[in-house]
Amino acid sequence: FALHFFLFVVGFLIWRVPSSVCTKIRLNTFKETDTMSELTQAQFESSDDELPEELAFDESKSAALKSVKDALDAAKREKNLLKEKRRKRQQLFQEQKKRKRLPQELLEEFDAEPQKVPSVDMENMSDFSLPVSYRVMRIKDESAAKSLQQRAMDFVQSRLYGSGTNRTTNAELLSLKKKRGASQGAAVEFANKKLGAYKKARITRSNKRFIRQQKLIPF
Amino acid sequence: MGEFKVHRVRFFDYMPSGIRALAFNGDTERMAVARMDGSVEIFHCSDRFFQEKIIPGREQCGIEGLSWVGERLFSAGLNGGITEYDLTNQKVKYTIDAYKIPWYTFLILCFYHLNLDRQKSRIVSLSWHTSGSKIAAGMMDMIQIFNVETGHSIHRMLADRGVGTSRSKECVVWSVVYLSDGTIVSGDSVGMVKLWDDQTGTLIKSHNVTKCDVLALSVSQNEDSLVAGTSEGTVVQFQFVSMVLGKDDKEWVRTRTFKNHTHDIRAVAEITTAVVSGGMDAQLVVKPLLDKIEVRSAASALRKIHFPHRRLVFCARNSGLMLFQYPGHLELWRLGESEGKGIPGSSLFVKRNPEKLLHLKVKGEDHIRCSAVSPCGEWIVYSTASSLRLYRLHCDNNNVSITKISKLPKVLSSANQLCFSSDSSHLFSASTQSSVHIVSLSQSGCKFVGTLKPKSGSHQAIHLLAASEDGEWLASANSDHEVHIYNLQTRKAHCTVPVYSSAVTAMGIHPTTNCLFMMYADQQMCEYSIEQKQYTDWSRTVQRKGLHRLWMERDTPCLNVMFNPQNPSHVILHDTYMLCIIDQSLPLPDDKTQFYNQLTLKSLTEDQRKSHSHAFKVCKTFKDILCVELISDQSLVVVERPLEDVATQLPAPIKQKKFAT
Repeated sequence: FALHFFLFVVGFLIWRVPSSVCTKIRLNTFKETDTMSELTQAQFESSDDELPEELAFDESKSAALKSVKDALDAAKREKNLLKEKRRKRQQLFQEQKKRKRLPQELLEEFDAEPQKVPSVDMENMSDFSLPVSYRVMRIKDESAAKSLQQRAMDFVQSRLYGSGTNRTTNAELLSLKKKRGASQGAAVEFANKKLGAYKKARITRSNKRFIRQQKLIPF
Repeated sequence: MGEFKVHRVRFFDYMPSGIRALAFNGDTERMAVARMDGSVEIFHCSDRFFQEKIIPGREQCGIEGLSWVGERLFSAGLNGGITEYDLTNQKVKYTIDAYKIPWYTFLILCFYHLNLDRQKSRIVSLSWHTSGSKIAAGMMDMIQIFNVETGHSIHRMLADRGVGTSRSKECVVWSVVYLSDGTIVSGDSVGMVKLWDDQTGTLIKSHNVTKCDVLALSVSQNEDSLVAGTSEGTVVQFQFVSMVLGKDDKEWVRTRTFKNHTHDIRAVAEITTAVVSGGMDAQLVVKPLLDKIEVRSAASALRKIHFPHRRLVFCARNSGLMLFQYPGHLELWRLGESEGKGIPGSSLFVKRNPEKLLHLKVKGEDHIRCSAVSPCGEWIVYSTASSLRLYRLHCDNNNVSITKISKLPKVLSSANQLCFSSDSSHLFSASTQSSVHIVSLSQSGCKFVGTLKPKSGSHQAIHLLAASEDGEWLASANSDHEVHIYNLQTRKAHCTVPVYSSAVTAMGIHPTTNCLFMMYADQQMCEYSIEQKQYTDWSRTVQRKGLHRLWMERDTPCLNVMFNPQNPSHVILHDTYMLCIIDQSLPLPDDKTQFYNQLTLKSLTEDQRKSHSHAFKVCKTFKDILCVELISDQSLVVVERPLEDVATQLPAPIKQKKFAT
């Protein structure tokens, strides 16, 4: 019985307080039953015929605000904890990386050595002549022509499929067709085993990754 | 009737290539279609849109525009090069590089950075005025009119960028059309079709057609109708009509909208009686304009062409192997095995799954034009536009090895069609001038035997070959509707089948009667006796009686003709949506008979069935059929390519908001 009445009171409070804190209040108030029930005790002892006395909103308001503050504090603490964990992990990775690198001396040695450029012996160039059917062409020119084609293709691709275009997937298009079609069926990813299999595999992989990640965090 | 075990094959991942450009030749009634992979196809518009010719593409090839100049066909690539096609031999004649041609030489749409009149701006589309003195160029945010002789810009017309978020992006004028009366029509990325006046350089009218881009425009021959294709897959028609009856002042009014595509439309063309459109969903859609058609016939129905009208799947009948022809490679698969018997319509238990034995990549950049596998399964051959390769296959249970036959006769440089003899001892290669080269195959390799040449006739490329079971006869069909039959013993032409107005889509020689059975693009069929050099009686009966209306109304061609060794009166045919067994011993149906009567017959008793049966037994269980073959253990192989699977691998479509979704 006490619980029921209790929740009724909480209902009033939820009205006056932002929704984001709502759930937390509900949880916390179950813990802090001592303060709240003290208020309601008084209610119980009065007879059923009388009208319930009006609750002092100030008291309940301060209680609610306190619980909100506690919630925020708890969140802050959690954040700091995660930050610490991350910092420690980063440190660990740095040390591992250091261990993997080559010794500092070797690296310095490599930097000091000048780059050797292969040189072509140009002395006997005058004797050299191409056969008649051959043609000299710079590699730069050929790649320039290709890059023109590539640039044009990229332009079309970006204008038709790039950012700002309102594109969707083929699976969605087919699923919509099915939804409004004569024989209405499930979305294509569920009906078409091949498509469905691909998505299912992706989802299981990302689930596995998530589970692994959770376990990885030290502490 | 006939019970067959059917291997239902769906592991041929054939992907058609998107359509990039269309060009209609009004004199010859041919439609040239250019695809994203560089291949060009010619469709015959008045022969049920049969795909007469295919010129395969190559890797890294992009065609941006296609144009007919008389009977010659040219295309422009993204790098600005111009290519002319040899339509007789179905290949590329030559390509001219961009830097060799003056910028104003050709009427083709191309993409290139150009320094016209000291302005560096991207030209996206071009259109000539009929006089040849002016060009309209669709560029970024504007349209410019150039004087051809001087190269100077006459007018500069600015296109709006649109409202909201699209204000920050430049407006791309994707397509322009220059009409003979001086009006310029433009389609841009904001979704507007605008009409401009070339004398004053101002905007006449603006039509908002779509929220996304207008990618393609085309005007009809007599300039009274204009069609625009959008990114959403809709085709909008405008007509030049007068708003008030009787009055002469005409204007362009938006009339019809067609929604026959799911993806971007990259090309539209208007032929005399229909609007043809093609785009990234790789289908060629022909929408007849009902006001131009007088009689309701097969020609007045909407037509969607999904698959090529050539075989891409070949079967080694005696060894249960299948060859799949992709543009850049070949795949050889061994069919699976099943166990037990079942009731008709049920699935059998699979004892062994089909397995891929070979993945053979093409050397070089050209795509495969044709290929074949011998009935014994020991020889594989393929040809591109520039080379032909023959391989010997060794298959012992789990080990598959392949050896290339290096010393090929010089005549085998390239082929339009390839065919093995029924005993796998010879290879027939269809070459230029409608001739066929014969080479013999043996352990030691291959040797040139002779060439079969027609007595007279055209030089068009051969697209079909059929060899008889006894090794005596070879039939060839070319793009000029000529069917020549050769005697393989004497290696001379034996006879020619009378030319029919429609193209041959499939043919086969009966194993015992040696009659050539031919299917045509207009769904007619005929049977020609090779030994007697005339049509058979059955064929004459069919011609006299006529074929059933439902058979004639089918809109996809038959691509294979087969015979059943166990039942000599059967002819097995298929098209994209049905499989049919024609029993020549049964009576032909007339127009009043129920054509699709298989289900009805099942419910009748044996005696009743005999009186109600007719020659055409059609099975519609299978859809999107690419090939049907009968293999030696009396089982059928049906290769399906579900269109839904093709749709999932197409490029991304535009998001469209539909009511209640």
